[in-house]
Amino acid sequence: MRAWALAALVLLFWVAACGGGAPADGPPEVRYGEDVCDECHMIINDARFAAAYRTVGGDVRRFDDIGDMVVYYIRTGEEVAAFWVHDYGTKAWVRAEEAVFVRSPSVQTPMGHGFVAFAGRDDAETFVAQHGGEVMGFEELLKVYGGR
Amino acid sequence: MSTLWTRFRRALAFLLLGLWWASAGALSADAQGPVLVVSPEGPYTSVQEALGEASPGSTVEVRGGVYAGPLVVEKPVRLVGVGWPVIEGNGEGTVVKIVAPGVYFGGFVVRNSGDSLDEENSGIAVEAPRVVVEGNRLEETLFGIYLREASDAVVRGNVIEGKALEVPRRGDAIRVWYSSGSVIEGNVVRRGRDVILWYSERLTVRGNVVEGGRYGLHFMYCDDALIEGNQLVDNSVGAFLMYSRRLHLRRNFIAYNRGPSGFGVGLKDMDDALVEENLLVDNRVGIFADNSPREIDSVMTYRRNLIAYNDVGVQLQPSVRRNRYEANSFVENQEQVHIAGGGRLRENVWEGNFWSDYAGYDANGDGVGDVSYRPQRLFEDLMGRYPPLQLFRYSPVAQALDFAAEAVPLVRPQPKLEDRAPRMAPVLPEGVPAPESRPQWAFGVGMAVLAVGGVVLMGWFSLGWPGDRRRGRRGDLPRPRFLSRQPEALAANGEEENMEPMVTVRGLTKRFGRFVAVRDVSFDVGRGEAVALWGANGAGKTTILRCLLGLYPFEGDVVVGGYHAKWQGREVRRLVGFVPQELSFHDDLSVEETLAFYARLRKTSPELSPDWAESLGLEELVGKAVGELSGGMKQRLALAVALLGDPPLLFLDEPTANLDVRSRREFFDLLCRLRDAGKTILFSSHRFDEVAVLADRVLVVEAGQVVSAGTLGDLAATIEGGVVVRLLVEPGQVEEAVRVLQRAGLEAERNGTGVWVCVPSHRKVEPILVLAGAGLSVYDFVLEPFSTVDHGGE
Repeated sequence: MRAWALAALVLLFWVAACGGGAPADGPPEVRYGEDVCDECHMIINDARFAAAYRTVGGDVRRFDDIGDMVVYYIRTGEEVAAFWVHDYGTKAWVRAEEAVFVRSPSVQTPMGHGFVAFAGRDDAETFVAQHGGEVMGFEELLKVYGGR
Repeated sequence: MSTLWTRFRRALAFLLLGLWWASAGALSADAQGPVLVVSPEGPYTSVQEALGEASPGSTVEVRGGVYAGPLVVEKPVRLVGVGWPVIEGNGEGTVVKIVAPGVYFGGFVVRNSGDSLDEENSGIAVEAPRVVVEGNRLEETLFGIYLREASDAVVRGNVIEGKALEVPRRGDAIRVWYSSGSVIEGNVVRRGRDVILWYSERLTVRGNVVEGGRYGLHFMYCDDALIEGNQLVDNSVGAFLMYSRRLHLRRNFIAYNRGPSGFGVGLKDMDDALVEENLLVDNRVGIFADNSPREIDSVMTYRRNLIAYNDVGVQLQPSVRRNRYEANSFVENQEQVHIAGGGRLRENVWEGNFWSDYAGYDANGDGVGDVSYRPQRLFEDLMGRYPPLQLFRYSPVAQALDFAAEAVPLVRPQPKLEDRAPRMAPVLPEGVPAPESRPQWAFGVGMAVLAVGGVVLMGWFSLGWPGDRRRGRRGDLPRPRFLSRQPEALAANGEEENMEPMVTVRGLTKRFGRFVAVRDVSFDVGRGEAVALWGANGAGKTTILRCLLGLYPFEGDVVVGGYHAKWQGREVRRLVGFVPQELSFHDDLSVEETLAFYARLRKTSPELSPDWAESLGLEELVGKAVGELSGGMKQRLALAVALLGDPPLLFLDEPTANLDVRSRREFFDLLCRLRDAGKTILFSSHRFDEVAVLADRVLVVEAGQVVSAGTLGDLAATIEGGVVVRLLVEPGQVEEAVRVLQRAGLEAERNGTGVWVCVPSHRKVEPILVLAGAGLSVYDFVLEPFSTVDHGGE
């Protein structure tokens, strides 16, 4: 009887341990003010700078700063299925590969990396015209941190 | 000659005076130049107008009244508020902006900035070096004081209260940005978002109070900072220190920081930090470290910190190396050390720390345990690997797993760490501030954790009990804890439940290695009953009490108030007010502070019921520092702490061991009143007089066994054969007393500072009379049954 109970407990643990990582296609949920950045462990508060990715294995990583996402990704070398960032203006999720990034010294991001993202190039260039900075794509952004 | 000398001295004086004027004018901040007065009645009615007229070095004295902002200070002047003049921002932009170096700005109320985060609307924005911002009150400002490229600033003694917005919409109460060499000192911050210190070297952050925000302190890229004597409480995170070198964090009080991450101190990518003598109390995680140190030749040092009552004492990422933990005290953290991702730490040093769950022994009495501290719990290990398991943290499931790991060594995890020299007693940090701003629980807190420490928890583990140490305590059995409350647990006060004993002990056996300290002890304590454990020192009384409190693993069954002490120690301890044998108070704390602190820890009111407060004579103690109290008063305070929350049970371990006769009598009068009021009392004593006064029943404990049990009448019969009278005489007269007694034909011997005399029970007064007849004073005496006296010592 005890053996059965123990087996049931172990099964329960296994289910609990696996429950958080069910794969999905869309952008992951971020609970602002509650979720903690996987890189710096600080609370994610501001959607404009928040970023996330989903690994091939279905795990979700959440970040309070686009730069932290890239740092974490390069450091861990995880296989990533999809990167997500927010449009700085609308706060809507955008696939990072499709987004246009601006690095601007006048933007104070949560961890000081200074990157914001836009869904369209026009918005990015308007932002640069107003605040200064440079426009780049995701591949260039990875290279800033020594990525491929 | 003398005239010439006089002229020379006069010329020199003028020269020095001239130089002083010149330098004062140039440096300006401390200068006392011309004074321009601004007040509603004039001569100036506008601060900005007076500033326009002022020359560098002038003082602009602004008297009480309301003045419209924004104010821009573009000259190196002193702006001095007299009678709390208000600079009103009217909800727009930044209220005061200082762009000239060397400005002094103090004594103002700065109110009502705009609320744009993007524009960083602030109360006081400083954009020039060597500015002093001192003694101001900032109210309803988004950002409070913002140093932007303002090196060598002094921000001192300001009170900053932010806008009543949700935390993410607030600004930073203090922001230090590219402002090296600045001093942030003695400020009080409430309702801010963060206190941010970025890109600034050689900062001093001292004596500030930061509460109710997100990050009490957030350091990024700040080398060589001193962070000292701050109180960081009720924030999401106390201090988050990142990407900095050689930070020195000392003597801070960091408590109740329980946000989503809830770190007392978080360290990320730090090098060569020294974290010492801090109090880290009741945070989610006391200390969190990730990738610190980051450089190969760097070391992180944590020493003499008190890390108490946190959910997790220290949480480390598994990659953390070269951390030294020395002489810290880990007290009742639900998990003392947690490794994120599980596994075992490497290349870290754990040495000489106190661990409240250490169950080893100290045979040679050198204060250091003789076996290593090696925490190994299967559930904690699994939880580290699979964080979702935290759901089960307090459940019977976790308990069952740990039990399985104990029973089946195959699944026992590797210990996370090893402390080869665990201390038997905690190290108390000193000099940590007691906040004045929150007197209701200020208490220089953590000090008090250990202070009355004895009373609530600390004493249970480590203070005192020399007998136990010498006997030895076996080591590394993890103690099961944190089970949820069981249905049968004490909850209702139904008649049927009242019939159940409050304490049921069956077959209690406690072994320390091969030594059996308590053997097959069984007894009950009924509701409202006072029961004595009576026996000589070293008989096993303390061990029995500690088993009942769930502080030792043991064999047998113990149920206290419906909880099983073996698995539900914490629940049992909530039900029991405990007064240990040895108290350790912090002398600087007041009685109210001590009570308030423990009330907060136990999540109950610091107010005792008026009856108990009166019985304890608390009024007499109020306003006194603990250090001023006599032994008897301290014992009353200990009892008061034990009574917080009005627990139905009281356990007392030799509660009057260190009191004089009068204090003992008073204390036992109190206990009798508690018994008469319905408290269930279990106490240990080796004094027959105490037992006679208080106990309804007596359990005679001898060599770890209950050798007889019954009423006082029964007990009297057991000592018919003879008693030992322990006499306390003048230290210099001990030998003489022994000689006098022996000459009178009595069997007497010296025992430490006292004298033991064995006499038939009907002659127990005789030794006192004999000594009195010889002119020797007896200050105190204790009667013990001959059979329970351990003549072999302890």
